[in-house]
Amino acid sequence: MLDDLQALEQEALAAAASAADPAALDAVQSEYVGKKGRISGLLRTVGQLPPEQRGPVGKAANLARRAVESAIEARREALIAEADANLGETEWVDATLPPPAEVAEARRTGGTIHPITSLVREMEAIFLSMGFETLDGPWAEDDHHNFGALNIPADHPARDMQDTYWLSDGNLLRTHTSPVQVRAMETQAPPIRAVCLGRVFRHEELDATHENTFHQCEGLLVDRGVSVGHMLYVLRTLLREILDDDVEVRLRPGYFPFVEPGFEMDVVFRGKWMELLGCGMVHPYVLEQGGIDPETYSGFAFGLGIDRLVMLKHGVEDVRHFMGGDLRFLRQFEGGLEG
Amino acid sequence: MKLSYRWLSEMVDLSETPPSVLKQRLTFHTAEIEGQEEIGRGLEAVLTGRVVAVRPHPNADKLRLCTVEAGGEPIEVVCGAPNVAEGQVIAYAPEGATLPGGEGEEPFTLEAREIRGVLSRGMICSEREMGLGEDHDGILVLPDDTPVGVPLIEALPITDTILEIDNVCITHRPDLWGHVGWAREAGALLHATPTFPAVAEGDAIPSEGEPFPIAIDDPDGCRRYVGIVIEGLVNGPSPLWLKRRLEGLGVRSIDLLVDLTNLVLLEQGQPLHAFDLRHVRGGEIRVRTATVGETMTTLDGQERTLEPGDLVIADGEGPVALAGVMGGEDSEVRGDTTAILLESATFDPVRIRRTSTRLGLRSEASARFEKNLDPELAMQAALRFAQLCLELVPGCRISRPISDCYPRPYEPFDVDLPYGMVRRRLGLRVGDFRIRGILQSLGFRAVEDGEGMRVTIPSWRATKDIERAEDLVEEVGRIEGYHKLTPVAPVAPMQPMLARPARAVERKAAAVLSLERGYAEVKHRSFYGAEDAERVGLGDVAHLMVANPTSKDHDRLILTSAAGLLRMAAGNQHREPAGRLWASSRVFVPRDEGLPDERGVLAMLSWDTSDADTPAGAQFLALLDDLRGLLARMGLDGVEVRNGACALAPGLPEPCWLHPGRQAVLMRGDTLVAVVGEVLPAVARAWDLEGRAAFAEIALDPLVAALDEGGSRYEPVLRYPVVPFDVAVVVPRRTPAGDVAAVMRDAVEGSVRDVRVFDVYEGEGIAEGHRSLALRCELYDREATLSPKAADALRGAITAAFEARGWSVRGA
Repeated sequence: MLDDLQALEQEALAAAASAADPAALDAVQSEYVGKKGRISGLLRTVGQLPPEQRGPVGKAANLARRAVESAIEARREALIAEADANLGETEWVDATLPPPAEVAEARRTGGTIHPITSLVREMEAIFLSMGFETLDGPWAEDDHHNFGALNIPADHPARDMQDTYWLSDGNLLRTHTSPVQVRAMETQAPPIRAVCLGRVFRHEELDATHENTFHQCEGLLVDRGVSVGHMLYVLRTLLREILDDDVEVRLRPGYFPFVEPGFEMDVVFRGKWMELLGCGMVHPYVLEQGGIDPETYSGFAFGLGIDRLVMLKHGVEDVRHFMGGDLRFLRQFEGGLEG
Repeated sequence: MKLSYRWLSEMVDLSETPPSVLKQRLTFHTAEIEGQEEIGRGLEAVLTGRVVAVRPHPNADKLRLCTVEAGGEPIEVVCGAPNVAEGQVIAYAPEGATLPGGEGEEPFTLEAREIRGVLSRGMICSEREMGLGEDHDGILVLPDDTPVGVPLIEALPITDTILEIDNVCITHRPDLWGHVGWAREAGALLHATPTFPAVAEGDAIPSEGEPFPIAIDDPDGCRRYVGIVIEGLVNGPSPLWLKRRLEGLGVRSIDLLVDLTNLVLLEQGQPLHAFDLRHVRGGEIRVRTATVGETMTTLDGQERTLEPGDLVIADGEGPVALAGVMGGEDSEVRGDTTAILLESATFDPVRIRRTSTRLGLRSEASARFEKNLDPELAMQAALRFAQLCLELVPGCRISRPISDCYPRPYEPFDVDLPYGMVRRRLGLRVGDFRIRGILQSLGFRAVEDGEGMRVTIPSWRATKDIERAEDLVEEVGRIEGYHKLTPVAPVAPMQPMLARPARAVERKAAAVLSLERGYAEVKHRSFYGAEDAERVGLGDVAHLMVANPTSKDHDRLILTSAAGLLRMAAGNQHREPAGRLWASSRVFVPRDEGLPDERGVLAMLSWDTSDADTPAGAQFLALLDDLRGLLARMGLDGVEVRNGACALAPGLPEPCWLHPGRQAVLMRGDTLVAVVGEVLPAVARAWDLEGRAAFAEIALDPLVAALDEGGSRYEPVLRYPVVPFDVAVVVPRRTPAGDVAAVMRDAVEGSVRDVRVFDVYEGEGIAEGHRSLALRCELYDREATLSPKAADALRGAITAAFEARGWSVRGA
């Protein structure tokens, strides 16, 4: 009995060692140590042996089974490693060939555009039509553009308003799109009419209402004789386009170090006044930092949270969906598709 | 900042302005009121009563039977409070009254009920039961002279409305961190003149003798330090009105002296500190910067290690307070304190902010100091505190002349404000007289000067708040009311505005990938963690790190979109066995100086968990086809696919997440446009992503530049028929089909078009290490119908070109 067992074990080990691919290895596994395998079968007959043999034979059979199983696992890992190492050889595909027709054809449906992208486009189109150019700026910013030039010096309490991700090289992830204002003023002479819609970052723990990555729309108009009345017109026009034709807006005093006077703008949304954006006349210090003479020029600027607006428009319950990539969420916005 | 309506009404006439109206006026003219809290609501039925008799309860040791007179017949009430005593005036809730209960408790209605066999009709109330505070150790005992038998809320100033100000809105308004500032503001809005609380003056302040010795060694850190010595004090519990006032504003009552410093803080906005005079050693106070390694124990019992720059208040032996942040444990006032040195100082906002931030000690005091307080307020608040002591503690007195160290005094300054500027900047019609009136109502002195005014800034608006004309424009605008503004369309020269090229590329990508090719657009984060970096094989590559990450999964900026998209694919695979994603994002290459090298990338990923790799490389080739389709739709021609991959741009890592045998680059001339490949199986496994996946990354800048070159490759439509030609050629297995097609094109340039591979065969009949490619093309002549002879010549030239490379043409 013990001899049979030993022979069987040797046979199984040899088979495992010579299995050339995972399929062959599966066959070895089921032949020897599977439910109906030969070693397993032998184990089942132990009960019929004379009592004094049961112990040693049972133990030996168990050992044999374990040895074979671990040999199979080792071989399986070796096969994977071998396959991984030779992929360049065994699975080489010529990239200059066309795709198999049946695969290419099956891939035409299920596309969607991210709801934030859709709103960004809508807003950019409105601004372009009103004569604003669209600008872009770095996501990793320096202290000067994100804070200093915006009248938020180091140790200013207003820094508490914007929890910042600092980078190991001394820069930071921009906390708002306002640095683009400064960059626009540095590179252009008035009149300036520009918007920047883009990604911003805040040092936040994630939950249903807090994200560390979101999107803002920044706007800037600098010219001679610009007034709060001009700002009110541009913002009301924008909000009427994206929310409702006759949406009501109102201004309240608000504090942002880079504008003077500063405002919060509210809109009536579904019958309720809601705080929507911050805005104001560009602070003369900020104009100076941008190389523009505040005696000659004035301007307005505004900043608006895009994610929040999308949440409002669609009733999205959890801000984390936007960065989450769950197709069940994204596919619901197929209706908003447009090239 | 919390604002008591009742307190405000004591300083400015609010008889015509109920809380709801005040709230609205302040929100639209000053700062946002975030919330509103009612105090003492639901106490209408509670009466004042006198306990005329107290007897033991026959059946319970801890209960007493009290006879209460509250207007009508005397009533028997069972009371369990230890402090109930005969003769007390108390708050009595009769049966049927509903009480609000403490915070988090439901209101409850009283019924006459038997308590241990004795009928109790109503209740003698504690603060907590009436929703007035947390104290329920005993009943609320009212002042002896309180009229009895009248509603409690009429007898005592208990009801109030607390308005909660959004603190962000008053970051720049140090004057609005106390009730006095709000009274001034309300006065301007309501055309009322506020009356401010009385301060100690005249004979109360001794002129003889030596002031307490105070020195400021660090005038940059301390602009003013006022010290008042008050003796003959008796410390103890505060009177009811004082407790109620503090507790209504969320400040716990401690004892009279501490409560008074807090009261003045809330009233004037000036933090005060009272030192027990017994513990000011050496009879002197010195304001100085901390020395290296100096330590002190603050009020909270913690030992703090100080740094130079931290401002300390020291006596003759060492620090007794961390200036503006927290007092010291040793010198605080206690129950037996009878003499104090009151500190009322103006500390440098930046220094206070640095120290409080570093030590994590943000207090009501530090929050105010860091807003840059008015130095004139320091004296005002000190005298107010002294006045309160004199009123509340009979026999106490200011025992020495006031110490006033004021190295950097407030100097009034002027700002010129042209009337026209106000109107132009606001776009609002507002008259000269009105402009001047508004500023005067806010405490500015305004004198006409030519076409405008010369405006003198009062001390409470002069610390970084009002500095230039624009600041005054805001004052006029907000008081006049922004609701009066009329929208006016800006006038601008007509000029075309086009979308940014990078954005135009993103738009086209969405049009092709999302609408034609079935890709879902996603947004992935710009940072990831060590684990995800490791999964794509970038564990050892230097990333730009986040210095203060919120999570270890978000501690470095990405070098590829691969990890972000793979994470999403892995998350979706159980619901969506096959799918396609694309994203527009940026990757960040660290640099030694300046900003990191930030590069825009478009990334695509497709996966199919059931893909058993038949046909071989299907995911890869299909994604590649989508990518070529995208570039073609964008109008980018002349793109060539080459087997093998490299980094997308200088500084970016080699795409080690791609399959070594299934990867390619897309080149346009010498410009690398995209890198594409199958996701390395080991990488897919690291994400538990089954089947096969493919990934591509497009560099945005070269793409934008290439598209910008524009140009057209239009060719006139052929006027003569074409001759189709199929040919099969056996080539070494690794010879790219693209090269074979190129050889064909080059051999008969100008006479062949639309070359494509329609079959690939390996195996029987083909030499080992070779494969047969079947190509189809069209031969043509632009000037004439292609004669059979000419077609033969072209076919021959192609065959010859193949054979010249040692490739055999099958069936030839």
